[in-house]
Amino acid sequence: MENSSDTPAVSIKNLYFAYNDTWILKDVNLEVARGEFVGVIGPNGGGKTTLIKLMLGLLRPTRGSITVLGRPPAEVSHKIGYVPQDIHLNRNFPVSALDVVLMGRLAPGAGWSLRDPKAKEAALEALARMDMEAYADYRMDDLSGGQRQRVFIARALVSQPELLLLDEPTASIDMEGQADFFHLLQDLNASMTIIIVSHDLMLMATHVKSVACVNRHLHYHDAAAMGGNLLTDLCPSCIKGARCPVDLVTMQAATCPHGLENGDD
Amino acid sequence: MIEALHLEFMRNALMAGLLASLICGILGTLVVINRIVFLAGAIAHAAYGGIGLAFFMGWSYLGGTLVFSLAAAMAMAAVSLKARHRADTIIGVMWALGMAIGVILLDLTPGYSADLMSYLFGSILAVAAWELRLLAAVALAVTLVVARYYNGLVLMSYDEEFARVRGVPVTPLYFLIIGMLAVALVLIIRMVGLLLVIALLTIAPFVMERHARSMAQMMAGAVLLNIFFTVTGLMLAYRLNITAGASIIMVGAVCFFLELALGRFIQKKRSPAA
Repeated sequence: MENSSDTPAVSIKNLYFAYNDTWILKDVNLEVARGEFVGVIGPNGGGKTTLIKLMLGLLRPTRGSITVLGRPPAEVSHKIGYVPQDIHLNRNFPVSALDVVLMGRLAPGAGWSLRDPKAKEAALEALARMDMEAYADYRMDDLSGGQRQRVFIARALVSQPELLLLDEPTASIDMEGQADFFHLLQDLNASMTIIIVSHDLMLMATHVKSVACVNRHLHYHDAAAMGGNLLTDLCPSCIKGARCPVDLVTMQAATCPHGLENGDD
Repeated sequence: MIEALHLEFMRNALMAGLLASLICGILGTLVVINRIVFLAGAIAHAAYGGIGLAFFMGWSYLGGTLVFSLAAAMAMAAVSLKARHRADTIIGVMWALGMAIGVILLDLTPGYSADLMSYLFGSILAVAAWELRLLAAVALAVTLVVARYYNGLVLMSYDEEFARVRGVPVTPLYFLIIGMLAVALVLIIRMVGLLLVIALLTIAPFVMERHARSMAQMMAGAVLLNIFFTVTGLMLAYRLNITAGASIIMVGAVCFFLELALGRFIQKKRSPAA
């Protein structure tokens, strides 16, 4: 049952995904080794979030296969830490930071109690790892965007995941906070595989080990294929048409890194 | 008020009000947090179709209404999950359709003159003992189910996607909430009426949302507030000889606007240093 550590963290083969008769992802192949730190970039609507949701088992491929930690995603969801975009959350919800972290202890089929002392201990430990233990009893909407994001990472860490997935986690954090955030991820990367969707190419460039460009198709550039500087050495096809990093993400269809087929959505 | 309690119908009215307060405080918290007030309103109104169906077919009132409301509620729940962006429109159509079916079926039922007023305000002073027992059973069931699935409900209400990743049975739990809501609404509407149900479902949870530190606290606070509305409202109704349901709603509405105006100033320390 237990997977050996040399099964890839994520393995995707000939994956297609359609939504409402529109292809979101086409012929995606990806193999992410354990211990990787992958940055996922691409234009809005290019399929980045869909890719993350497929890895989480929230969506099923239309065609092709995907395995995470050697198994179908839904079976290993308790080994995946997930940090969502916090704009989707219910902001007025009455909940303390500690209770949010405890949510991460809820395993499929297993009971979970707020009063389970072991779970509480683990949750406080995860908060401490994020320098947030002093805020355990704060209501979530009394925390800043950066603080909330740390709580969400603590929630992802409390189940001791082998794979950490983050979907634009820095959207509500200021510039300085974002730099700290990436340092933190780099530390975490010592013990887990990380895949992060982010628009912040500057920060990504200095921290991630490999890059996946997603725009209907996926182009993977791993550490071996890239030289020292991700920004300049990023595969030429990725940069083509882009004058500065911002172009890479704001670019219109015509100048998209890997070209775009038959219309955007 | 004390002398009023010597009267059996006043005691029954108070008991019905307290049980409705409990059920609406708990389910209302879920309704407000999950932003399905519109859906709850639609179920409550569409239930009128069930009344029409029951009378037209000659079924028992409760049986016919329960079946119709549950079916309508499940259809609305399915729509709200499957067609999110169109859900409010479709639910609005079903809201109107349910009521229209009720009105037409009552028109077609010989010898029955429809009494919309009693649907709006209920007949809390005419509550029977068996109805109270049934309501008490529903209150107990709602409390137990919410307590049993509390953690999953918190998780899916806060962050549905994460809940799904963690293996919380989000869809079954959603249907469970809506189902409980439909059953509770049918029973409570008969006693306290449509308007009061909506008020008990929404006002107290809203007032509590800003001040609670957990969903459980919000539920407990909403139940207590509902009881306060009900007791004060009944007392005023008795003293001033006005309609009980409307008087309870007025008490709640005063609290609602006080909270809106002063809420952030009287906000208790919900976070250690906030």
